[in-house]
Amino acid sequence: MKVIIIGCGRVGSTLATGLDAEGHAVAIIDKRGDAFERWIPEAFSGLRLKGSGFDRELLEQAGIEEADAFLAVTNGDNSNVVSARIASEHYKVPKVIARIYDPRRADIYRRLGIPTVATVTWTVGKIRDLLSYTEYEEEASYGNGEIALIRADLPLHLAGRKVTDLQVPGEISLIEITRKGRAFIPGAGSVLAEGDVLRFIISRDGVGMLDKFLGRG
Amino acid sequence: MRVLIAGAGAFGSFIAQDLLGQNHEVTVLDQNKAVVAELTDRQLSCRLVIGDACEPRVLESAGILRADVVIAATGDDEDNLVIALLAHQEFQVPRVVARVNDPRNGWLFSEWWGVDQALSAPDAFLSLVEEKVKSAPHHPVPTQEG
Repeated sequence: MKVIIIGCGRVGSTLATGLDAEGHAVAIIDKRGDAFERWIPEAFSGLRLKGSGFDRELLEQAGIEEADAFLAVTNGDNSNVVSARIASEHYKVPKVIARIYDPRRADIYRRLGIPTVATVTWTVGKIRDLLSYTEYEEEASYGNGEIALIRADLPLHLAGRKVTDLQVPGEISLIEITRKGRAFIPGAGSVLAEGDVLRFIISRDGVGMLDKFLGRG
Repeated sequence: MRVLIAGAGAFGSFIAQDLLGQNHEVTVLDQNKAVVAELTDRQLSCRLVIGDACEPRVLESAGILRADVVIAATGDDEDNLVIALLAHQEFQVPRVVARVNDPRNGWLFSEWWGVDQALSAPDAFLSLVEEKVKSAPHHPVPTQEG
């Protein structure tokens, strides 16, 4: 995949070095030439270009006409939007993503047809999740979030109960138990013990049921 | 006419003053309080609004829905483009004028970004100079044999 990244800060450089290491052809552009020295390791085999993310000549030098993806991740919301819109509308880059700080603007930009990642909204949401489900973490999700892998500490009142009491076919599946630092896959006869950390595969509809089992809500 | 000017720097305030002289109703919008305070001190008879012109809600409170003309006059081309696009696409302002700061960005200031009229001081200056150079009396050019 040919990828162009605008903005060589923490996000841009991490994307650039990661994609480069995976064998993608990466070009990274930044207004400040010293950003490359600061953030990009020498081993990076892609292009480093100094200049503006909406300079036609520079973008073409970066190979925008053949690019598969364009990522605008500078610290300026407006410059990200401008370069992203140029990439998608003028150069027809198939995949264009812009990073936006200001959540109030993210919606407008989405309406203008630019897929955005709203850094602040995302971070706040993540922190709120962690606040609400301190002992109940989502570790992965599948599809569009219909199914999730979650982690929960065993509540005391369930110690001594059989694993099968927590299994609901099609809704909740207890797939792993970590007991005293050692993990195992429970069998039909396994019994829960105090201090167990549990991992469930759970459907969205199963969440309410699990809440009841675990004595929450 | 009702004119909304985004950006109260030297460029924006100069235009504001000129338009006020022609009896237009002018609102000037800038997020920099100090810049707006300076205009207040000069006692221009325009309405002054403090806020970020790239934010739709601020534009609305500055009266963009009633504006006949919006002039995006900030010192940042990306801001002017976003303001122009919002004015045109979100608020259907009849006429959008935008300032070009860096002539290399001039290609973007078109209908594509909602700009009806681009104002590029460097380009205007350049074409003036070119005009003067062209019309200057020539020294006779020496021939090859000479």
